[in-house]
Amino acid sequence: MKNLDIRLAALDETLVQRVRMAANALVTHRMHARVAAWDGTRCDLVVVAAEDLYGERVRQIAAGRGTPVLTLGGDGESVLPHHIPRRLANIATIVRILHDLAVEVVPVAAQPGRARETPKDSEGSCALVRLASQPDLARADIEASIDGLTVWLMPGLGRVLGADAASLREAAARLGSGGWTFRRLSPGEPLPAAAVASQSLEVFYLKGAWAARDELPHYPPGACRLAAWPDLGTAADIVEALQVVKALRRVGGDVRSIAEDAGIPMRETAACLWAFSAAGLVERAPDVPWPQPARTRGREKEGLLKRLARHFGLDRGPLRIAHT
Amino acid sequence: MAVADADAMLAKLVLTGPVGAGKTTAIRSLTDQAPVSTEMPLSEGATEDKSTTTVALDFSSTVLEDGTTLLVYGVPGQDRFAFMRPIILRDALGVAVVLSALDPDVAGQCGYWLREILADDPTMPVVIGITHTDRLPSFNMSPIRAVVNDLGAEVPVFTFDARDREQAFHLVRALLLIA
Repeated sequence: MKNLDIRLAALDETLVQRVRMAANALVTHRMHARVAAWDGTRCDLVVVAAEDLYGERVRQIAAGRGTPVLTLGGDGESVLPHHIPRRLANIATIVRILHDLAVEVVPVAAQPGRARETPKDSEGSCALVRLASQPDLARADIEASIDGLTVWLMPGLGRVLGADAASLREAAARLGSGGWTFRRLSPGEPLPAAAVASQSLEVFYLKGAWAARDELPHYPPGACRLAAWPDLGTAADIVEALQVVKALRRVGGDVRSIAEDAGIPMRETAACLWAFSAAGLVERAPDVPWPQPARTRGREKEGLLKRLARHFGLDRGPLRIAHT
Repeated sequence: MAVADADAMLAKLVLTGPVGAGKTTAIRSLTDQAPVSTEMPLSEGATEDKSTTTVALDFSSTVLEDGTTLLVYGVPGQDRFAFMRPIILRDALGVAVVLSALDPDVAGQCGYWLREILADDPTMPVVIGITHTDRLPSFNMSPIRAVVNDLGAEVPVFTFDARDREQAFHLVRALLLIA
Protein backbone atom coordinates (compact mmCIF):
# COMPACT_ATOMS: atom_id res chain seq x y z
CA MET A 1 0.00 0.00 0.00
CA LYS A 2 1.44 3.35 -1.04
CA ASN A 3 0.82 6.18 1.43
CA LEU A 4 0.22 9.60 -0.07
CA ASP A 5 0.09 13.00 1.57
CA ILE A 6 -2.24 15.28 -0.43
CA ARG A 7 -2.74 18.97 0.39
CA LEU A 8 -5.52 21.28 -0.75
CA ALA A 9 -5.46 25.01 -1.31
CA ALA A 10 -8.23 27.50 -2.06
CA LEU A 11 -10.81 24.91 -3.12
CA ASP A 12 -14.45 25.54 -2.35
CA GLU A 13 -16.45 23.11 -0.22
CA THR A 14 -17.82 21.18 -3.20
CA LEU A 15 -14.43 20.56 -4.73
CA VAL A 16 -12.92 19.66 -1.35
CA GLN A 17 -15.56 16.98 -0.93
CA ARG A 18 -14.96 15.63 -4.42
CA VAL A 19 -11.21 15.46 -3.87
CA ARG A 20 -11.68 13.71 -0.53
CA MET A 21 -13.97 11.14 -2.12
CA ALA A 22 -11.57 10.68 -5.01
CA ALA A 23 -8.68 10.26 -2.59
CA ASN A 24 -10.61 7.58 -0.74
CA ALA A 25 -11.23 5.82 -4.03
CA LEU A 26 -7.47 5.55 -4.62
CA VAL A 27 -7.49 2.63 -2.24
CA THR A 28 -8.68 0.53 -5.18
CA HIS A 29 -5.27 1.30 -6.71
CA ARG A 30 -3.55 0.20 -3.48
CA MET A 31 -2.93 3.80 -2.48
CA HIS A 32 -3.85 5.25 0.89
CA ALA A 33 -4.24 9.02 0.71
CA ARG A 34 -4.25 11.45 3.62
CA VAL A 35 -5.89 14.76 2.66
CA ALA A 36 -5.26 17.98 4.56
CA ALA A 37 -5.12 21.70 4.00
CA TRP A 38 -1.96 23.19 2.57
CA ASP A 39 0.36 24.41 5.32
CA GLY A 40 3.48 25.21 3.35
CA THR A 41 5.30 22.00 4.18
CA ARG A 42 6.34 19.26 1.80
CA CYS A 43 3.84 16.70 0.63
CA ASP A 44 3.27 14.28 -2.25
CA LEU A 45 0.52 15.96 -4.23
CA VAL A 46 -1.14 19.35 -4.20
CA VAL A 47 -4.63 20.20 -5.45
CA VAL A 48 -5.33 23.89 -5.95
CA ALA A 49 -8.19 26.03 -7.20
CA ALA A 50 -7.92 27.60 -10.62
CA GLU A 51 -8.33 31.34 -11.03
CA ASP A 52 -7.50 32.00 -7.41
CA LEU A 53 -4.52 34.07 -6.26
CA TYR A 54 -3.83 31.91 -3.23
CA GLY A 55 -4.23 28.76 -5.28
CA GLU A 56 -1.82 30.11 -7.88
CA ARG A 57 0.70 31.02 -5.19
CA VAL A 58 0.56 27.51 -3.75
CA ARG A 59 0.81 26.01 -7.23
CA GLN A 60 3.99 27.96 -7.86
CA ILE A 61 5.55 26.93 -4.55
CA ALA A 62 4.68 23.27 -5.10
CA ALA A 63 5.87 23.33 -8.69
CA GLY A 64 9.11 24.90 -7.56
CA ARG A 65 9.65 21.93 -5.28
CA GLY A 66 8.81 19.45 -7.98
CA THR A 67 5.58 18.42 -6.27
CA PRO A 68 2.85 17.35 -8.72
CA VAL A 69 -0.08 19.76 -8.83
CA LEU A 70 -3.66 19.18 -9.91
CA THR A 71 -5.61 22.34 -10.65
CA LEU A 72 -9.40 22.24 -10.34
CA GLY A 73 -12.15 24.63 -11.32
CA GLY A 74 -12.49 27.60 -13.59
CA ASP A 75 -14.50 27.66 -16.76
CA GLY A 76 -11.98 27.85 -19.52
CA GLU A 77 -9.07 25.94 -20.90
CA SER A 78 -5.64 26.62 -19.47
CA VAL A 79 -2.07 25.85 -20.32
CA LEU A 80 -1.49 24.17 -16.98
CA PRO A 81 -0.41 20.54 -17.39
CA HIS A 82 -3.00 18.98 -15.06
CA HIS A 83 -6.12 21.11 -15.03
CA ILE A 84 -9.73 19.94 -14.81
CA PRO A 85 -12.32 22.68 -15.46
CA ARG A 86 -15.23 22.71 -13.03
CA ARG A 87 -17.73 21.29 -15.54
CA LEU A 88 -15.51 18.21 -15.96
CA ALA A 89 -14.39 17.90 -12.34
CA ASN A 90 -16.37 14.80 -11.44
CA ILE A 91 -15.01 12.29 -8.99
CA ALA A 92 -14.06 9.69 -11.60
CA THR A 93 -11.95 12.21 -13.52
CA ILE A 94 -10.28 13.44 -10.35
CA VAL A 95 -9.47 9.85 -9.35
CA ARG A 96 -7.94 9.18 -12.73
CA ILE A 97 -5.69 12.26 -12.71
CA LEU A 98 -4.69 11.79 -9.07
CA HIS A 99 -3.74 8.22 -9.86
CA ASP A 100 -1.74 9.23 -12.92
CA LEU A 101 0.15 11.80 -10.85
CA ALA A 102 0.60 9.51 -7.88
CA VAL A 103 2.14 6.54 -9.66
CA GLU A 104 5.34 8.52 -10.22
CA VAL A 105 5.47 9.85 -6.69
CA VAL A 106 7.95 8.62 -4.12
CA PRO A 107 6.07 9.51 -0.95
CA VAL A 108 7.74 12.13 1.23
CA ALA A 109 7.35 9.93 4.28
CA ALA A 110 9.32 7.20 2.51
CA GLN A 111 12.22 9.47 1.61
CA PRO A 112 15.25 9.23 3.92
CA GLY A 113 15.41 12.25 6.21
CA ARG A 114 12.20 13.64 4.79
CA ALA A 115 9.64 12.91 7.46
CA ARG A 116 6.78 15.39 7.37
CA GLU A 117 8.16 18.83 8.08
CA THR A 118 6.83 21.10 10.72
CA PRO A 119 5.94 24.62 9.64
CA LYS A 120 8.95 26.89 9.39
CA ASP A 121 9.43 30.61 9.46
CA SER A 122 9.45 30.93 5.70
CA GLU A 123 7.55 33.48 3.71
CA GLY A 124 5.77 30.68 1.89
CA SER A 125 4.09 29.51 5.08
CA CYS A 126 0.74 30.69 6.26
CA ALA A 127 1.21 33.77 8.45
CA LEU A 128 -1.03 32.46 11.21
CA VAL A 129 0.82 29.16 11.38
CA ARG A 130 4.18 30.96 11.45
CA LEU A 131 3.09 33.07 14.39
CA ALA A 132 1.40 30.23 16.23
CA SER A 133 4.33 27.88 15.79
CA GLN A 134 6.90 30.30 17.17
CA PRO A 135 5.93 31.66 20.59
CA ASP A 136 8.84 34.12 20.61
CA LEU A 137 7.57 35.53 17.31
CA ALA A 138 3.99 35.69 18.59
CA ARG A 139 5.13 37.66 21.64
CA ALA A 140 7.16 40.19 19.63
CA ASP A 141 5.86 43.48 18.30
CA ILE A 142 6.01 43.06 14.54
CA GLU A 143 5.61 45.09 11.39
CA ALA A 144 3.87 42.68 9.01
CA SER A 145 3.65 43.39 5.29
CA ILE A 146 2.23 41.73 2.21
CA ASP A 147 2.00 43.23 -1.29
CA GLY A 148 2.35 46.80 -0.03
CA LEU A 149 -0.15 46.33 2.79
CA THR A 150 1.32 46.86 6.27
CA VAL A 151 -0.09 46.28 9.74
CA TRP A 152 1.58 46.34 13.13
CA LEU A 153 1.02 43.34 15.39
CA MET A 154 1.36 44.53 18.98
CA PRO A 155 0.87 41.65 21.43
CA GLY A 156 2.20 43.90 24.18
CA LEU A 157 -0.89 46.06 23.71
CA GLY A 158 -3.20 43.24 22.69
CA ARG A 159 -3.91 45.26 19.53
CA VAL A 160 -3.20 45.35 15.82
CA LEU A 161 -2.75 48.72 14.16
CA GLY A 162 -3.16 49.80 10.57
CA ALA A 163 -3.81 52.76 8.34
CA ASP A 164 -7.60 52.33 8.54
CA ALA A 165 -10.30 49.79 9.24
CA ALA A 166 -10.35 48.62 5.61
CA SER A 167 -6.65 47.77 5.62
CA LEU A 168 -7.07 45.83 8.86
CA ARG A 169 -9.93 43.86 7.28
CA GLU A 170 -7.92 43.14 4.17
CA ALA A 171 -4.89 42.08 6.18
CA ALA A 172 -6.99 39.74 8.32
CA ALA A 173 -8.44 38.16 5.20
CA ARG A 174 -4.94 37.33 3.99
CA LEU A 175 -3.57 35.84 7.21
CA GLY A 176 -4.17 32.34 5.90
CA SER A 177 -1.77 32.82 3.03
CA GLY A 178 1.97 32.90 2.66
CA GLY A 179 4.03 35.77 1.34
CA TRP A 180 4.03 37.87 4.51
CA THR A 181 7.20 39.64 5.61
CA PHE A 182 7.72 40.08 9.35
CA ARG A 183 10.05 42.68 10.89
CA ARG A 184 10.48 42.78 14.63
CA LEU A 185 10.15 46.27 16.02
CA SER A 186 13.03 47.48 18.16
CA PRO A 187 12.29 48.14 21.83
CA GLY A 188 10.98 51.67 22.13
CA GLU A 189 10.58 52.06 18.38
CA PRO A 190 7.78 54.59 17.89
CA LEU A 191 4.68 53.56 16.03
CA PRO A 192 4.52 55.01 12.53
CA ALA A 193 2.21 57.94 11.90
CA ALA A 194 0.18 55.73 9.54
CA ALA A 195 -0.95 53.52 12.42
CA VAL A 196 -4.12 55.40 13.25
CA ALA A 197 -6.65 52.56 13.45
CA SER A 198 -6.55 49.65 15.83
CA GLN A 199 -8.53 46.63 16.89
CA SER A 200 -8.22 43.62 19.16
CA LEU A 201 -5.30 41.42 18.08
CA GLU A 202 -7.29 38.29 18.97
CA VAL A 203 -10.25 39.38 16.83
CA PHE A 204 -7.84 40.14 13.97
CA TYR A 205 -6.35 36.65 14.15
CA LEU A 206 -9.72 35.00 14.66
CA LYS A 207 -11.22 36.70 11.60
CA GLY A 208 -8.21 35.60 9.55
CA ALA A 209 -8.30 32.03 10.83
CA TRP A 210 -12.05 31.82 10.32
CA ALA A 211 -11.76 32.99 6.73
CA ALA A 212 -8.97 30.48 6.06
CA ARG A 213 -10.34 27.60 8.12
CA ASP A 214 -10.64 25.32 5.10
CA GLU A 215 -6.99 25.79 4.32
CA LEU A 216 -5.37 25.74 7.73
CA PRO A 217 -3.41 22.62 8.68
CA HIS A 218 -4.48 20.28 11.43
CA TYR A 219 -3.80 21.78 14.83
CA PRO A 220 -0.86 19.97 16.47
CA PRO A 221 -1.73 17.16 18.87
CA GLY A 222 -1.41 17.56 22.62
CA ALA A 223 -3.36 19.18 25.39
CA CYS A 224 -3.70 22.91 25.63
CA ARG A 225 -5.66 25.57 27.44
CA LEU A 226 -6.06 29.32 27.41
CA ALA A 227 -3.99 31.50 29.68
CA ALA A 228 -6.56 34.30 29.52
CA TRP A 229 -9.84 35.15 27.85
CA PRO A 230 -9.18 36.58 24.39
CA ASP A 231 -10.73 39.95 23.66
CA LEU A 232 -13.47 38.83 21.27
CA GLY A 233 -15.86 41.71 21.84
CA THR A 234 -15.90 42.87 18.23
CA ALA A 235 -16.14 39.36 16.77
CA ALA A 236 -19.84 39.07 17.50
CA ASP A 237 -20.39 37.24 14.21
CA ILE A 238 -18.27 34.28 15.34
CA VAL A 239 -20.27 33.02 18.29
CA GLU A 240 -18.63 29.60 18.04
CA ALA A 241 -15.35 31.07 19.29
CA LEU A 242 -16.92 31.78 22.66
CA GLN A 243 -17.86 28.12 23.06
CA VAL A 244 -14.29 27.12 22.20
CA VAL A 245 -12.93 29.59 24.74
CA LYS A 246 -15.23 28.23 27.39
CA ALA A 247 -14.09 24.67 26.71
CA LEU A 248 -10.44 25.70 26.70
CA ARG A 249 -10.81 27.52 30.00
CA ARG A 250 -12.94 24.88 31.64
CA VAL A 251 -11.40 21.56 30.70
CA GLY A 252 -8.51 22.09 28.31
CA GLY A 253 -7.42 19.14 26.19
CA ASP A 254 -6.51 18.38 22.61
CA VAL A 255 -8.37 19.80 19.66
CA ARG A 256 -10.73 16.84 19.43
CA SER A 257 -11.80 16.98 23.07
CA ILE A 258 -12.16 20.76 22.87
CA ALA A 259 -14.33 20.40 19.78
CA GLU A 260 -16.51 17.79 21.49
CA ASP A 261 -16.86 19.81 24.67
CA ALA A 262 -17.69 22.98 22.74
CA GLY A 263 -20.02 21.22 20.33
CA ILE A 264 -18.18 22.86 17.45
CA PRO A 265 -16.79 21.06 14.35
CA MET A 266 -13.08 20.22 14.41
CA ARG A 267 -12.26 22.56 11.54
CA GLU A 268 -13.76 25.60 13.26
CA THR A 269 -12.25 24.61 16.61
CA ALA A 270 -8.82 24.32 15.01
CA ALA A 271 -9.24 27.76 13.44
CA CYS A 272 -9.90 29.24 16.88
CA LEU A 273 -6.87 27.44 18.30
CA TRP A 274 -4.61 28.73 15.53
CA ALA A 275 -5.86 32.26 16.18
CA PHE A 276 -5.43 32.07 19.94
CA SER A 277 -2.00 30.47 19.53
CA ALA A 278 -0.90 33.25 17.19
CA ALA A 279 -1.98 35.68 19.90
CA GLY A 280 0.23 33.85 22.38
CA LEU A 281 -2.67 32.86 24.64
CA VAL A 282 -2.47 29.07 24.35
CA GLU A 283 -0.51 27.13 26.97
CA ARG A 284 0.61 23.62 26.16
CA ALA A 285 1.40 21.23 29.02
CA PRO A 286 -0.09 17.83 28.34
CA ASP A 287 0.71 16.15 31.63
CA VAL A 288 -0.45 18.85 33.99
CA PRO A 289 -4.06 18.75 35.17
CA TRP A 290 -5.70 22.07 34.56
CA PRO A 291 -7.05 24.01 37.48
CA GLN A 292 -10.78 24.33 37.02
CA PRO A 293 -12.22 27.85 37.13
CA ALA A 294 -14.53 28.11 40.08
CA ARG A 295 -18.11 27.25 39.30
CA THR A 296 -19.99 30.41 40.05
CA ARG A 297 -23.64 29.48 40.10
CA GLY A 298 -25.71 26.44 40.96
CA ARG A 299 -27.90 24.31 38.79
CA GLU A 300 -31.05 26.03 39.92
CA LYS A 301 -30.63 28.71 37.24
CA GLU A 302 -29.74 26.36 34.43
CA GLY A 303 -33.10 26.61 32.71
CA LEU A 304 -33.08 30.37 32.89
CA LEU A 305 -29.54 30.51 31.55
CA LYS A 306 -30.54 28.33 28.61
CA ARG A 307 -33.44 30.60 27.75
CA LEU A 308 -31.24 33.66 27.95
CA ALA A 309 -28.60 31.93 25.83
CA ARG A 310 -31.20 31.34 23.17
CA HIS A 311 -32.34 34.97 23.32
CA PHE A 312 -28.80 36.32 23.01
CA GLY A 313 -27.92 34.05 20.09
CA LEU A 314 -25.64 31.65 21.89
CA ASP A 315 -27.36 28.61 20.44
CA ARG A 316 -26.55 29.12 16.78
CA GLY A 317 -24.48 25.99 17.25
CA PRO A 318 -25.31 23.31 19.80
CA LEU A 319 -26.40 24.85 23.08
CA ARG A 320 -23.56 24.34 25.52
CA ILE A 321 -24.65 26.34 28.49
CA ALA A 322 -25.45 23.35 30.71
CA HIS A 323 -23.20 22.66 33.66
CA THR A 324 -21.26 19.44 33.92
CA MET B 1 -48.62 31.49 39.57
CA ALA B 2 -46.46 30.37 42.50
CA VAL B 3 -43.73 32.69 43.70
CA ALA B 4 -41.00 30.23 42.67
CA ASP B 5 -42.46 29.99 39.16
CA ALA B 6 -42.63 33.75 38.92
CA ASP B 7 -38.98 33.99 39.97
CA ALA B 8 -38.02 31.49 37.28
CA MET B 9 -39.56 33.78 34.67
CA LEU B 10 -37.51 36.81 35.75
CA ALA B 11 -33.85 37.46 35.06
CA LYS B 12 -31.82 40.39 36.20
CA LEU B 13 -28.75 41.75 34.49
CA VAL B 14 -26.76 44.66 35.88
CA LEU B 15 -24.45 47.08 34.11
CA THR B 16 -22.19 49.21 36.19
CA GLY B 17 -19.06 51.31 35.90
CA PRO B 18 -17.89 54.89 36.11
CA VAL B 19 -19.67 57.91 34.73
CA GLY B 20 -19.55 58.37 30.96
CA ALA B 21 -18.42 54.89 29.98
CA GLY B 22 -21.56 54.00 28.05
CA LYS B 23 -23.80 52.03 30.40
CA THR B 24 -27.01 53.73 29.28
CA THR B 25 -26.10 53.28 25.61
CA ALA B 26 -25.37 49.57 26.18
CA ILE B 27 -28.72 49.06 27.92
CA ARG B 28 -30.44 50.65 24.95
CA SER B 29 -28.61 48.22 22.64
CA LEU B 30 -29.51 45.21 24.77
CA THR B 31 -33.21 45.94 25.08
CA ASP B 32 -33.94 47.81 21.84
CA GLN B 33 -35.52 50.64 23.75
CA ALA B 34 -34.43 53.69 25.65
CA PRO B 35 -34.12 52.95 29.35
CA VAL B 36 -36.06 54.79 31.97
CA SER B 37 -33.31 57.02 33.26
CA THR B 38 -32.87 59.46 36.04
CA GLU B 39 -30.43 61.74 34.28
CA MET B 40 -29.31 65.17 35.34
CA PRO B 41 -27.00 67.71 33.68
CA LEU B 42 -23.36 67.09 34.54
CA SER B 43 -22.29 69.70 37.06
CA GLU B 44 -18.74 69.50 35.74
CA GLY B 45 -16.88 67.73 32.96
CA ALA B 46 -19.72 68.07 30.46
CA THR B 47 -18.72 67.58 26.83
CA GLU B 48 -20.46 67.76 23.49
CA ASP B 49 -20.98 63.99 23.63
CA LYS B 50 -21.86 63.74 27.29
CA SER B 51 -23.82 66.49 29.01
CA THR B 52 -25.93 64.43 31.42
CA THR B 53 -25.29 61.57 33.80
CA THR B 54 -27.37 58.92 35.50
CA VAL B 55 -27.87 59.93 39.12
CA ALA B 56 -29.92 57.05 40.47
CA LEU B 57 -30.30 54.24 38.01
CA ASP B 58 -31.23 53.22 34.49
CA PHE B 59 -33.82 50.57 33.96
CA SER B 60 -35.11 48.75 30.95
CA SER B 61 -36.60 45.36 30.25
CA THR B 62 -37.32 42.98 27.43
CA VAL B 63 -39.50 39.92 27.17
CA LEU B 64 -37.98 36.72 25.81
CA GLU B 65 -39.84 34.42 23.43
CA ASP B 66 -40.94 32.12 26.25
CA GLY B 67 -42.29 34.99 28.29
CA THR B 68 -39.29 35.38 30.59
CA THR B 69 -38.74 39.01 31.48
CA LEU B 70 -35.17 40.25 31.44
CA LEU B 71 -34.66 43.23 33.71
CA VAL B 72 -31.63 45.34 32.87
CA TYR B 73 -30.35 47.83 35.42
CA GLY B 74 -27.68 50.45 35.06
CA VAL B 75 -26.10 51.30 38.38
CA PRO B 76 -24.68 54.79 38.78
CA GLY B 77 -21.01 55.43 38.90
CA GLN B 78 -20.89 58.12 41.54
CA ASP B 79 -19.51 57.06 44.91
CA ARG B 80 -22.39 58.66 46.79
CA PHE B 81 -24.72 56.08 45.29
CA ALA B 82 -22.49 53.14 46.20
CA PHE B 83 -24.96 52.05 48.88
CA MET B 84 -27.41 51.13 46.12
CA ARG B 85 -25.15 48.65 44.37
CA PRO B 86 -25.53 45.62 46.67
CA ILE B 87 -29.28 46.16 46.68
CA ILE B 88 -29.51 46.09 42.92
CA LEU B 89 -26.91 43.34 42.50
CA ARG B 90 -28.88 40.95 44.71
CA ASP B 91 -30.11 37.95 42.67
CA ALA B 92 -28.55 39.27 39.49
CA LEU B 93 -27.41 36.66 36.95
CA GLY B 94 -24.29 38.68 36.37
CA VAL B 95 -22.69 42.07 36.04
CA ALA B 96 -21.15 43.81 33.06
CA VAL B 97 -18.68 46.50 34.10
CA VAL B 98 -18.53 49.14 31.38
CA LEU B 99 -15.30 51.16 31.29
CA SER B 100 -14.00 53.80 28.91
CA ALA B 101 -10.65 53.35 27.20
CA LEU B 102 -10.29 57.12 27.32
CA ASP B 103 -9.99 57.00 31.10
CA PRO B 104 -6.24 57.31 31.84
CA ASP B 105 -6.74 54.99 34.82
CA VAL B 106 -8.93 52.40 33.13
CA ALA B 107 -6.95 49.53 34.68
CA GLY B 108 -7.33 51.05 38.14
CA GLN B 109 -11.06 51.47 37.52
CA CYS B 110 -11.25 47.83 36.45
CA GLY B 111 -9.66 46.69 39.70
CA TYR B 112 -11.86 48.99 41.76
CA TRP B 113 -15.12 47.76 40.24
CA LEU B 114 -14.13 44.10 40.35
CA ARG B 115 -13.24 44.37 44.04
CA GLU B 116 -16.47 46.22 44.78
CA ILE B 117 -18.59 43.55 43.13
CA LEU B 118 -16.71 40.46 44.28
CA ALA B 119 -16.44 41.70 47.86
CA ASP B 120 -20.21 41.64 48.05
CA ASP B 121 -20.61 38.31 46.21
CA PRO B 122 -17.42 36.39 45.24
CA THR B 123 -19.43 34.07 42.99
CA MET B 124 -21.03 36.84 40.93
CA PRO B 125 -20.25 36.34 37.20
CA VAL B 126 -18.60 39.49 35.84
CA VAL B 127 -17.49 40.65 32.41
CA ILE B 128 -15.58 43.81 31.56
CA GLY B 129 -16.63 45.80 28.50
CA ILE B 130 -14.33 48.57 27.35
CA THR B 131 -15.73 51.28 25.10
CA HIS B 132 -14.24 54.11 23.02
CA THR B 133 -11.17 52.15 21.84
CA ASP B 134 -11.91 53.49 18.35
CA ARG B 135 -10.83 56.89 19.65
CA LEU B 136 -7.57 55.63 21.12
CA PRO B 137 -5.42 53.62 18.67
CA SER B 138 -2.73 53.16 21.30
CA PHE B 139 -5.15 51.55 23.76
CA ASN B 140 -3.31 48.97 25.87
CA MET B 141 -5.18 45.89 27.08
CA SER B 142 -2.29 44.40 29.08
CA PRO B 143 -2.66 46.37 32.36
CA ILE B 144 -6.33 45.46 32.51
CA ARG B 145 -5.57 41.77 31.99
CA ALA B 146 -2.92 42.02 34.70
CA VAL B 147 -5.49 43.39 37.14
CA VAL B 148 -7.92 40.59 36.33
CA ASN B 149 -5.18 37.94 36.67
CA ASP B 150 -4.08 39.36 40.02
CA LEU B 151 -7.60 38.95 41.32
CA GLY B 152 -7.66 35.36 40.11
CA ALA B 153 -11.16 35.80 38.76
CA GLU B 154 -12.65 34.22 35.63
CA VAL B 155 -13.51 37.54 34.03
CA PRO B 156 -13.66 38.00 30.24
CA VAL B 157 -12.42 41.41 29.12
CA PHE B 158 -13.88 42.61 25.82
CA THR B 159 -13.53 45.83 23.89
CA PHE B 160 -16.86 46.71 22.32
CA ASP B 161 -19.00 49.44 20.85
CA ALA B 162 -21.91 50.05 23.23
CA ARG B 163 -23.98 51.39 20.32
CA ASP B 164 -23.71 48.10 18.45
CA ARG B 165 -26.48 45.67 19.39
CA GLU B 166 -24.57 42.56 18.34
CA GLN B 167 -21.45 43.58 20.24
CA ALA B 168 -23.51 44.35 23.36
CA PHE B 169 -25.15 40.94 22.96
CA HIS B 170 -21.70 39.36 22.62
CA LEU B 171 -20.66 40.79 25.97
CA VAL B 172 -23.71 39.20 27.57
CA ARG B 173 -23.00 35.90 25.78
CA ALA B 174 -19.60 35.79 27.49
CA LEU B 175 -21.30 36.50 30.80
CA LEU B 176 -23.75 33.65 30.29
CA LEU B 177 -20.93 31.25 29.49
CA ILE B 178 -19.24 31.86 32.82
CA ALA B 179 -22.48 32.02 34.83
